[in-house]
Parts: sequence; structure tokens; C-alpha cells
Amino acid sequence: MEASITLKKVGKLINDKTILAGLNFGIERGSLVAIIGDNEAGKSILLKVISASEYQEYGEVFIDGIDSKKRRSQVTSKIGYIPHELDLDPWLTLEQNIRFSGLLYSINLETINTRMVQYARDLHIVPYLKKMVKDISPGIIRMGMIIRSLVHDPEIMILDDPTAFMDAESYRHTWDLLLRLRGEKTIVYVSQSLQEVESAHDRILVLENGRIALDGSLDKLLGSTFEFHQFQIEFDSLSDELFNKLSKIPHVKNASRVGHSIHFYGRERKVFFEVLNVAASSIMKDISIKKLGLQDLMDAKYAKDGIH
Amino acid sequence: MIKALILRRLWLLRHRLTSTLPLIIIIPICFHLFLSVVVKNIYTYSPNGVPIESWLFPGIIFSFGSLSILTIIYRDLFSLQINSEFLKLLAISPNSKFKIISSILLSSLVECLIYGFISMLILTLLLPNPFSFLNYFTIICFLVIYLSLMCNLIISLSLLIRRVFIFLFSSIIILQLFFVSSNILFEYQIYSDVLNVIFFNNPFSMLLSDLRNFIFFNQFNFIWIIISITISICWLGLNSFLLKRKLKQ
Repeated sequence: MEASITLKKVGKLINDKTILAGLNFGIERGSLVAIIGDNEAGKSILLKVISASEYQEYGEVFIDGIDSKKRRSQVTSKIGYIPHELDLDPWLTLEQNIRFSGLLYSINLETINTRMVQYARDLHIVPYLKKMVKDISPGIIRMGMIIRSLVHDPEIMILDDPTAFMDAESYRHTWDLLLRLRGEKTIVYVSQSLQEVESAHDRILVLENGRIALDGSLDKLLGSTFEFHQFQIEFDSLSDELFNKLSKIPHVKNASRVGHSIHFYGRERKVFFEVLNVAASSIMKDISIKKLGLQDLMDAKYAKDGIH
Repeated sequence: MIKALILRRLWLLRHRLTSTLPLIIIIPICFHLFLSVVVKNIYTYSPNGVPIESWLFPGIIFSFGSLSILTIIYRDLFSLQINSEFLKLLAISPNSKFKIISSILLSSLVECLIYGFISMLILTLLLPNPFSFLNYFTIICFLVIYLSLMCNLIISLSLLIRRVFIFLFSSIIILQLFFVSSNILFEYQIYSDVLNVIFFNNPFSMLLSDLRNFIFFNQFNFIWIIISITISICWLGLNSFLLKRKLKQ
């Protein structure tokens, strides 16, 4: 597929500190890409650089093959960007904020109004359009910002935590809209919610200290990193002797103890039966098996110990 | 882009009309009561023999315009609530920095001219001898040039200074210097020769001097108009550079 966004050796410094370090990757047209990482990993700065909101010190960013530094105005008209902060003018109404943004992109008022009402219906915020932003809750403002970023019909949407401050219903409406736009528009977003990323992505980029640590779909990331399950058995009484015995079973990985429960990882489910055989003489209160998710991947990654 | 910014200013004005309108009316009246009426008790005529109330009239309009432009630029480019977010929104739109700065300047000028026009109407009611239509028109033309210089100055300050206190302090000091020391309000050279040269030979003072020469003595001088317009355009370029630097673009 054709690349919508291409980064070539992109580096960004802030006060001599490297925030982004030699990033090289491309994002396919129409794909939904989630970027995750710990605080200070450089996620928001990466979005700013892609959206041409800030320039990189090194390397090149291409949007549809156009250099974002050399032909900036051409690039910015293709992008709808939502920053992390709530940046609507509190002393204007929601619709005035959206109209103002549309006019900045030289869209006529009639088209702006049509698109605004259509998206406001999708997000169920029509009654808030005529309210002053200072009187609206942050979740609604966030949805207003999404409409504002869509009103000039961009090809690419760059969203920094798009569902921040939203309640469950707003969250659902927002993702219904974004998933409907997937394929038609390239969507790149940053989120702190791993559940959100797990449920909405074609590809996940894990950023660590300004570098791409992992890149791929969730299945690919989990598959290539470890095909593990997480097991938990709660005993009536877990002695040190039993815990040591269970920890030493060959296929049991990263065993840990919380009270009278043992947690461990195993590549195959048969490990579980091996453990049950060893522990058969002890009284068990509860057992659970869970397929690993993004949270476990991140926990293992940032604990720096992984699953051995 | 200019349409977007002018509409935005009108929307803001409409929302704040009940608080803004009394200020637009009261401030020029205060200028008249605390300046014209008081000075009239000391000097009935200017050094050039013009009735002091008429002599002060353009200066009061220009001073009021300067205060208005300060509040407008402060809100858009410096207010804690909006601060750099407004600039960032403009910066990610497909417009050049020069276009952004000139649009901010033009839209602010439009709002300021509305205020200036209202203050002129109010002060005219308080003047014993109103000016001719041509004189009012000339005052407005000079006001546009003067405010474009003042707007550039305030934009530069707002782009260079990060702390609110320093911004407000420096803006007020500069405006005060203009009001009290230069011939915007008074034409008495009471400072040392060096300071007098600075205070009286800058585009701001010279523009007003030219305006007074025209409306009171029918002497028209193009030089300072051309110099002021040229400075204003060059200053726009400088402010565009400052904006580019501030936005790291």
C-alpha cells in the first residue's frame, strides 16, 4: 500500500536533550496507528513533528510524498491535528470555534456548517454547539476539537489522546466515528489507555526514549515477543516449600507470590497441568488462566526483565 | 484568513458587548474630564494658539486606541487562558507567518477603529467647536497608521516576553512614555536635549505632529506617513520572524 506518512532519520532536540532519535518508519494510507509509551517517551512531540506543528532538527517528514518543511502549507492542509491540551477559546461558542478553524483553512461557511452539523450528530453533541466553551465539560470540548480537526476534510488525522476526559458514552460515539473514518483517512493517535489501543488499531508503535521499541499489530507484538499465558492459583495455604517446588518446574516462567497465590507465565497450557500435578495434595481455592495483553507486554518491557 | 480573524473579533465583541460598551464610553469621557478639563484650567490655548481641548482631541483618540490595541493583543497573544494555544492553532493552518501576523494586525485594527470611532463621537459631543468632516476623516487615516505601528510594537513585546508581569509592566511603561513624554498629548519639551530628540522625533510623535499641522494649520507633510508605513511593513517581517522562532517552526 501507498505510504501516507514517511519519516526518515527524524531527530528532535529540546534544550540539548534528545526527544526523538533517528526515527525511520512509514504509515500506510487509511491505516489506524496507535502510539504508546511511558511518560517522556516522546509521543506528543512525535505527533507535533508529523503534523508540522513543530519542526524536527534532523531528518525529513513526508506527507503524501511532500516534504513537510519545504512545502508546509500544502502539508498542513492535509492534516487535522488535535493537541493534548484543550485549546478551544472559552469565550466563543463551540460552533464559533469550529467555524473559525474552518475559515483558517479557507473553507466556505456553508461547507463548514454542513460538516459541523453532520459530525456533531454523529457525536451526539448538537445541543452543545451554541454553548460557550467555558460552560461545557472537557469531554464535550474534546469532541468539539475532533469536529474542528475534521471540518477541513483532512486526509490524515493526528490525535493526541482523542478520548481524554470522555465518559463511556462519549468514548463509544467518538470511536464509532473514528472507526468509520478508518480506511478513508489515515489516523495516528496517542493514548494512555492500553485497552483503547488493544481495541482500535491496525498497528501499534511502542515508543521508548524517542526510539521505536516495538512495531506491529498486537498479535504480532505478543506473538513475536512471547506466546505466553498468565496463570494464577490461589491456595488455602501456600508454604515456601510448595512455592519453591512449583517455581522449579521447567516450563514455569517468572513465578511470583502474592499472599497465598502464585502467579506465573507459561508458553503452553500443559504447564498448568504440570503445576496442578505437583500441587495436587494442597487445597486450592481459585484458579485462572489469562491470555497476555498489551498491559502484560508493557509491564514486562518496562520492568526490563521480560519473561525468561 | 483575515475573514476568520475579523469574524472571531466580532463574535468576541458580541459576547462581551455589555462589559465592553460601557468602557468604550466611559474611558474617553474620563480622558476628557481628567485631562482636557484639568489642562484647560492651566492653559486655555496650545503653544501654537489652538484651543487646548481641540489640540488634545487627536492625542486622546490615539491614546485610547493605544490602550485598546494593548488589551486586544494581550488577550490573543498573552492571556493565561489562551496564550500560545491561539498561536498554535494559527500556526498549524496553511498560512505563512507573515500572513498570520498581518492578519492579527488587521483584525485588531478593525476592532480598534470601531472603538476609536465611538470614542470620537463621544468626545465630539464634549468639544465646543467640532472639526470638519475632512478633519475627522484625516484623524481616522492617521489613526490607522499610528495603530499599525503600535500594534507591531505590542506584538513584538508579546512574542519576546514570556512573563505576564514583565509584559504588562513594559507595555504600560512604554505607553506612559508615549502619553506623557512625547507630543501625543503635550507639546512641551521639558526633558534634556537628548531625551527630547528621542521623544519627539519618532514615528509615533511625528505622525501626530503631522496630523495636527494638517488639521490646525493646513500644512501637509508626506514624509512621516511614508516612513511610518515603511517601518510598519518592515516590522511585520520582523514579527513574522519572531513568531517563527517562538513556534519553533
